[in-house]
Formats: sequence, C-alpha cells, structure tokens
Amino acid sequence: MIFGIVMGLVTIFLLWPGYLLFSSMEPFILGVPLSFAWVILCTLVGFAALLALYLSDRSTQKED
Amino acid sequence: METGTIILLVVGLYLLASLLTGIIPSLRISKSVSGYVAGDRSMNVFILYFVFGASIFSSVAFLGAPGWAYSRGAAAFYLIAYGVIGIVPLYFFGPRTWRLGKKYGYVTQAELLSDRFSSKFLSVMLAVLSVAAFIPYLTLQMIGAGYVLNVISEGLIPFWLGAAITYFVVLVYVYFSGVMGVGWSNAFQGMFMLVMAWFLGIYLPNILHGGIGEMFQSIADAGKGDMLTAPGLDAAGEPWSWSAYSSAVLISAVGFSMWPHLFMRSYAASSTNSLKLSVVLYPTFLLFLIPILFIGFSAVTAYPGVEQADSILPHVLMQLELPAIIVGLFCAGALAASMSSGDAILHSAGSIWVRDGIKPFYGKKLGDKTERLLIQISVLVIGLTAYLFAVVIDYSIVGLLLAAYGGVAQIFPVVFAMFYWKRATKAGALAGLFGGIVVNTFFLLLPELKPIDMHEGIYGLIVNLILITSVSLLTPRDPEEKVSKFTEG
Repeated sequence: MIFGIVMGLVTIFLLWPGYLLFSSMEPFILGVPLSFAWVILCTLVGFAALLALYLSDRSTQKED
Repeated sequence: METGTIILLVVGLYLLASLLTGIIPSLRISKSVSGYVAGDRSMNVFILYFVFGASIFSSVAFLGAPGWAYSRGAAAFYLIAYGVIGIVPLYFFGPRTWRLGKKYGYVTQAELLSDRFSSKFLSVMLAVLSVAAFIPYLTLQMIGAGYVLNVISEGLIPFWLGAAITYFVVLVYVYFSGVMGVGWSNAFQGMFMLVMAWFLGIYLPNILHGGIGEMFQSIADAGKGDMLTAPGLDAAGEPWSWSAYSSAVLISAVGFSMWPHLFMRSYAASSTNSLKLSVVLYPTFLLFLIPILFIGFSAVTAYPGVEQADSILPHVLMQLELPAIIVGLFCAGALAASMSSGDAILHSAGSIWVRDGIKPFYGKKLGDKTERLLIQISVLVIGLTAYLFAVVIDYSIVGLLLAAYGGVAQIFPVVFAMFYWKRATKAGALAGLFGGIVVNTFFLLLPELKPIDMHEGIYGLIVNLILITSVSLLTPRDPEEKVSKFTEG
C-alpha cells in the first residue's frame, strides 16, 4: 500500500506534470543540473521503496 | 607492438573468453527443450541480476545513450526514468509466472497466456508480435557492434564485416548452449562493462573539461542551456515536447516487463526469492547509466558537429590518442554490451517462434529433439534477417529501441488481466491485443496523423484497454477453474 503510493509519486514526478517543477538546468547540484539530479534522486527513492517492500514481504510470508 | 595490433589482440581475446563462458555452462544442463529455454530453472540471484542488467547495457548504453545525450541533451534522461518504473510489475508478475511454470511446465510468455484464454490464435499472434519487435532490437545491437569496430579500426574493418564477426560468435554459443550460455556470458560481460562505464564516465569529463561540474558549466556557457533543461531537444534540435517525452517514458515503462526475453527469465529463476531480489537490485544497474550520459555530455562542447551521434564515444576515444590497451578494452566493452543483449534476444526469438508460433499446429507430434533443432534453425534465420536490416538501415539506435517498445507494451493489458482480472474473457483478450497492435502500427507508419505528439504505443494502449474491458464485459465469463488457476497465488 505505502509502496503503491511511493511508486505512484515517483511516476508522477518523472513525467509531466510533476517533472515540470524540476526541469530547469539551475541550480547545479554537486555540479549536475537539477533536471538530471532529480531523475537520479527518483531512481534512488524507487530503489529504496522496492527494497523496503522486499524486506517486509520476507518477514511476513514463508518463501517457497 | 603497433597500436592497431594491440587493439585487435584485446578484442580477439575478449571474443574468445565470451565464447568459452558461453559454451562451458551448457555442459552441465540437460539436453531437453526445458534445459535450452529455461535452464532447468536453476538461475541464481547473481546470474539473474546481470541478465536483467544486460537489458540496459546493450548497444544503447555505449553508443545510443551517449549519442542522445550528445545530440539531444536531457531527452536522454528518459532512459533512466523508465527503468525504475518499468521493473516494478516484474516484482509482482515474476513469482506468479515462476510458480505456474514450475507446476505446469510453461517456458514462454505465450504458453501462459494462451492457456488462460484457451486460444492458439493468441499464441501465434504473440509469437509474430514478439519476433516483429525483436528484429529491430537485434538490428540495433548489430549496428552498434558494426560502428565500434569500424570507427576503432579507422575504417579498416567495414561496418558489415564488424557486425558479422561479432554476431558469428554470438550465434555459435546461442546455437549450442541456450539460456545458461546467455546467463553466464551476461555476468562476465556485465561486470566488464560496469568497470568501463565508471572509468570512462569520470575520466573523459576530467580530461576534457577538468571535472563534471565544469563540463555542465561549459555547456551552459556555450548557450546550450536548452539542452540541459528537461525534456531536452528533439531530433531536429528544437525543444522536445512534454507529451512526447512523457509518453516515451510511459510506453517504455509499460513495455519493459513485457519484453518476452525478460519475462521468460522468470521461469529460469531458481526460486521466487532469488527472482524478487534480482528485481529489487535492478535499479542499482540504472545508476550505471549516469557515467554513460556524462560521456555524451563531455563531447558536446569539446567535439561539436559530429554527424553520426551514435558513434560519438568511439569518435572521442580515437581523438584523444589514448593508450592502445584502453581503446582495446573499451572496444571489447562496447561489443560486450551489444552481445549480451543480442544473445538473449536471439535465444528468445528462436524459442518463441517455435514453441508459440509453430508448435500449436503440431500438438504432441513434435518430439523434444525435433523441437530443439527447430529452435536452433530459427535462431540462425532470425539472426540473418536482423543482420540484413542492420546492413541496409539508417536510423538512430535509440529511435529503433523506442519503435520496438510500442509493440511490446501492447502485451501488458492481457498479462495484467490474466493475473488480476477474473472477468477478462478470451474474446476480450484477443480484441484488445489485436486492436492495440493495429493502432500502434498505423501511427508508427503514419506519424503525421497523430492528434497529439505522443508515442504511437500510447494510442495503441488506449484502444487496447477499451477493447479488452468492453468486449470482456459483453461476452460470457470464462470457465471458473481456468481463471482461478491464474489469479490465485
């Protein structure tokens, strides 16, 4: 459930209209344009969400 | 030793190593079709991780992606964006597919779907669609291999010969060893490419601009700020439209988990747990696209005006007069990228064509031995067809990739309905898939008729969804025992 919300947000913020807010070149973040840094951040958030889902799945059900 | 000789030596050694890692694992796998196609369901997390990762590290990574960053700037970010969304469905579909495959012996995507919807026609339709999407995908891998050898040898090895040599090696190990050969060579090639990507992605901005920040600053100072503002530029160099960018991300994300060669790997997993874990780790592979895009950006102000954007990386390397060993290693890395995807596609295309396209008409009469032989022959024929396209076609690598995704994405609604929507019927599934393919193909061939500038696959998906829902609701339910076999678990 929480996973669905997080992935939904990641999707919105990687596309129009969410990405529109972070589409500019400036400011540079650690030398990387905001538009690029934003995509990287979303990827990391997506990874964290998947990892959390996996860990909670593993603790709740027995694996075959 | 002369520079050229060293480069060729490194490349030759690499090809030999690929051949060996491709053939040896097959010695331990059974000679059955299940062994050839699904590796006796024995792939662990390590191999699966690289098999999924190889889908990124294709010719797209070393040639197409830097090419797009170089010519279209922020447009190339779509390659990272869709991966993180696109892998998610596999986390849910994969374990279900694995359990059903283990229980009922499926090894392809269409076997699963055609059993659920009791339709041979659906199976044939999927086989034709898969092979039709695979050929451009395979073609772009071959184009990549051809470019690399051509540019690095300074024209000495013609494009057609470069592609031919590389794909001869791939054909040999795919022909003999099937999926386990693909898996192990992917792991070997994958590790090799990760190292090359980070090395070049940090080395080139430093040597050309003195750092990554300075590199982006120089693009901004050169008045090319449009390039760094999402969604970047279109093929003509004008700012790209938001609808085109968003629909490219969306269609690729929807299509990603449906690629038959990725979907089929669910069967090859050793357990649902190893399958889930490799899906979860997949985004770490996406991060390796970051240095890859740096490579493309580093050439924007340093080497303006290169006509053939897809060959920007080998072009830059040749200009820098680097030590021969580094150029040789890069060359091998780029070939690895091309081959690791090419082998998986070839292998799946052959398996799917025979099992889903031909076998339904023979029933049980087709023996295991004949089937395996037929798959191997199909591998040869499909490889040759893609090669012919590679020699005559003139199209950007990422462009070919996007075109192939439109067709594959049409499979998503039927797969989703199979697992989660009990009310879906045979007629609905057939109508949805067929309608989606027709509309997608129509706008692919006649793009000027699109009402809004969106990827043709989106139009296909809209029609697909409307048809599968409405036709399913208008036709009687499918038999309960058939449906629950797939929706439970």
